[in-house]
Amino acid sequence: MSYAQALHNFQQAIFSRQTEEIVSLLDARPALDARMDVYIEGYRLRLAQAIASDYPTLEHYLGAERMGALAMAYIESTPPVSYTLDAYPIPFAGFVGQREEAFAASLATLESAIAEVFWMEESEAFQPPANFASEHMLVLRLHLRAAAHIMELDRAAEEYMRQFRAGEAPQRAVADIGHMLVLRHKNEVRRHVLNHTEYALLSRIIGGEPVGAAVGAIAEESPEACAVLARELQNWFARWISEGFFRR
Amino acid sequence: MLMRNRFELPDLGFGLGLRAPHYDDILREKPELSWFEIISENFLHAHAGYKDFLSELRRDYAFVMHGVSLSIGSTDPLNKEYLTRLKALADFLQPAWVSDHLCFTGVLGKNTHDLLPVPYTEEALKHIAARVRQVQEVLERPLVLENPSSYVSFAGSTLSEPEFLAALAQEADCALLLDVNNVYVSAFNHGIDAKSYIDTIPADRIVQIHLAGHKDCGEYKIDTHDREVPDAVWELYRYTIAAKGQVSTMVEWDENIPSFETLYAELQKAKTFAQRKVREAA
Repeated sequence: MSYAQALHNFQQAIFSRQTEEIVSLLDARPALDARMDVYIEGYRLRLAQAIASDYPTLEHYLGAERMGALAMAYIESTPPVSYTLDAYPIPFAGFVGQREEAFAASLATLESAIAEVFWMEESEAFQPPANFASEHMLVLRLHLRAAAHIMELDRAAEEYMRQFRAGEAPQRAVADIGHMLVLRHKNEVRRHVLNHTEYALLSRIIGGEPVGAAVGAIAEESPEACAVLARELQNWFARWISEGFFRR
Repeated sequence: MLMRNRFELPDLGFGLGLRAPHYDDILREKPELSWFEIISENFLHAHAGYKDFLSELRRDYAFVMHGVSLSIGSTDPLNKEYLTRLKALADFLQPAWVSDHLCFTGVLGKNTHDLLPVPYTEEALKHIAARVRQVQEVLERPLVLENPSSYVSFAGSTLSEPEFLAALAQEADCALLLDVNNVYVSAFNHGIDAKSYIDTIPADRIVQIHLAGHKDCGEYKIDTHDREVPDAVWELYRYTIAAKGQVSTMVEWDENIPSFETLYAELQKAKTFAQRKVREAA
């Protein structure tokens, strides 16, 4: 048997738990099945630990048994393909979305975004110069920081996570679909709840529209949007800049 | 006895694995030791905060980089992205050396995130030696390969593990990291003599020693890194430094990680063994 085939058979035994073929290639030793189990179970345990580490709130919500079964189903269906173990749990949120109720899926989406943003590429925050005139701002095209995810999300999931992380007994509130930005700034992953108009404006800006054009488009959408802009625009920009939403 | 390695890599003395639960202790206490070993993968994608952390420690300590994802034994092409990031991290940190394991972690685009054994054959030797040379060209420094711990062995192997390591080091002109716990575990698991394993490894290739704990499962032992170094491994360490000379030595502890004080105390035992060896020699 070739070297390549031996390696493939060994890996296949780990993925499939079927050891007959590989055992025929191994030296006869006491407890050979148990020794192969060190690899077979170790593989699953390592991946399950990586998933549990990234989804503590989801695990609290589902309970250890349901979470364990879900993680194991993911592991059996999805062998890792990246050299970094940190990448493995990220798509688990999509898997949860196909198999669990919407609230669990929202928790998973949020925790996946947090984990991914933690490892995403670095980018320097945009800081306008002190004497930056507002007319200059209007023609700017701003881009979202590299380590960021903007998403639609049930705010009840965000609140549940907040309570869990604060050590409180989290309570599931009524679903309230909104938008959120998960962003890494000053080496910390932060969560920013966005209201409807703020999200709409931000989407246009990071989609490539100059700031002035984006503001104009939102203002034309409805009198309500126009009123919200008049009231909040300055506050939003102050927060977006101080919290490093945009990259240089 | 101080044996110079053929690469003129320094004897860094005694060091520890840098692990997240100890970051605050280390920054605050700046413990008295010579060097830290990082797990390379923990920092390949790390944000600027981690680099600042490493930079601060780098002012006071030497570093070595130890990887788990090179998959030097795999038949897949070497991962260019991984190597590029590894090189960038090495250029940033300027470690004394970069190491990984004699193993494969996956084939056909998959990754088990485990250090899996390879058959020790002439075919494997040629294949892996060529890859080691490729890696060394990319990294522009010698690669240091660690002997793995294993629980099964391939019946088709034509070389013993230490023979394979010695031949690989010669063929690829790479250095070796001798994990004394792995020698103990693998020797037990495969029914070979641990001291003759050590004897077969050429001293001038060894630039680092690992010490760690393992779990005894009766008919086999598992390399767990979750407890103190057992007496039998200390004894094998004593034999190793007597036979090969003192080289950079560190204690690994990766599961059930204890307080920094406990880990540091474990390292002091290694120092005591080495100093006793020096006194005996004198």
